[in-house]
Amino acid sequence: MGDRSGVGLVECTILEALDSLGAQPRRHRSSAKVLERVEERIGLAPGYAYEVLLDLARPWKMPLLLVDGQGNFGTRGNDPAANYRYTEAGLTRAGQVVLAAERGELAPVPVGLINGNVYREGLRPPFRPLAIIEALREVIQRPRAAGNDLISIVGPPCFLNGCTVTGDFAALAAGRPTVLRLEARVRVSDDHGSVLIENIPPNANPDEVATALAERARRRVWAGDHPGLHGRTHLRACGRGTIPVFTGALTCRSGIFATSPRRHETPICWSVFPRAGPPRSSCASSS
Amino acid sequence: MNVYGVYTTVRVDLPRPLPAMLRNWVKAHADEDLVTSLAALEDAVRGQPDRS
Repeated sequence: MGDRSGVGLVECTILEALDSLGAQPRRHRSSAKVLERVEERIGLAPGYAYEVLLDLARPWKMPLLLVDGQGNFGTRGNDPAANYRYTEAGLTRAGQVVLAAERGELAPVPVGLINGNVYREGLRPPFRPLAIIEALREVIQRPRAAGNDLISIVGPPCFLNGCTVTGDFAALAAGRPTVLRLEARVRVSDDHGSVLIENIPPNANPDEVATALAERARRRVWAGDHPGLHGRTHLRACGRGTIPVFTGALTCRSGIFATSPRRHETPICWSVFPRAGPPRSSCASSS
Repeated sequence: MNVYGVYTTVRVDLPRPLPAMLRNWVKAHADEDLVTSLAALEDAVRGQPDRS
């Protein structure tokens, strides 16, 4: 790990390789060439290094992106990234700051503290970047600042995508292991005409969520679980054009497939119709 | 009407209490110009596309 940024060894090597190829913000270089440099430097095969490179550029993985990806870097669902021969990568401004810190051109930066390592199945959660910066400034200005003040400045972990995070934050802040719950936002319209699931947690695969819920809808389990829906509706799942259609008597309304305003968020939409509802137009896919 | 049910859980842990981590980080680099590096990092953060 880079002592001066908290960024991992492979990550730092990728940033170095990008820089050596002249990559900058909005100035991309072939991922294949970057990975070739990485292999030369630390002997890591491209297939392994590419996974790390992808994560550094995926907006749903970490709060502070170090790489700017161009091309198909995959989705949060089942769609994989394109092969590294067909993608390009550049350094973000944050990536340049990390490199400058690692080279001693700039004082250390707390990027490891901000990004954590949960995205790589570690235990350290990510935090809001500006909150960590503010808390560190508070320590610099007031070395005797109360621990609770620092904790309140940092706030709860930031898992991106706007999912609701609940759990024992006090235990986490005290350095004790705990389990956090990351919850998507589920809305049912007042007329029970549609269900919109968004702000899906970053460690959940939207396609798998859609498939699992669609299966419950097919078996009427989900509807039966909720008093507001019980006995009044069928569910039919649609999403990204890949979710199977389950209930022949019901059809989807294209109107509910509003794109979420949140970038990179793929809402999963359910259309809910009364049993006697008239057939509608065919299923549309969400973006 | 709110419906709850789409969630995941994640195990988390910090190597030491959060305030101690922050203090240790500042202490470990006390002889460097952290104010400048934090300002540079803040600029980079603010220049990122909003994903909130």
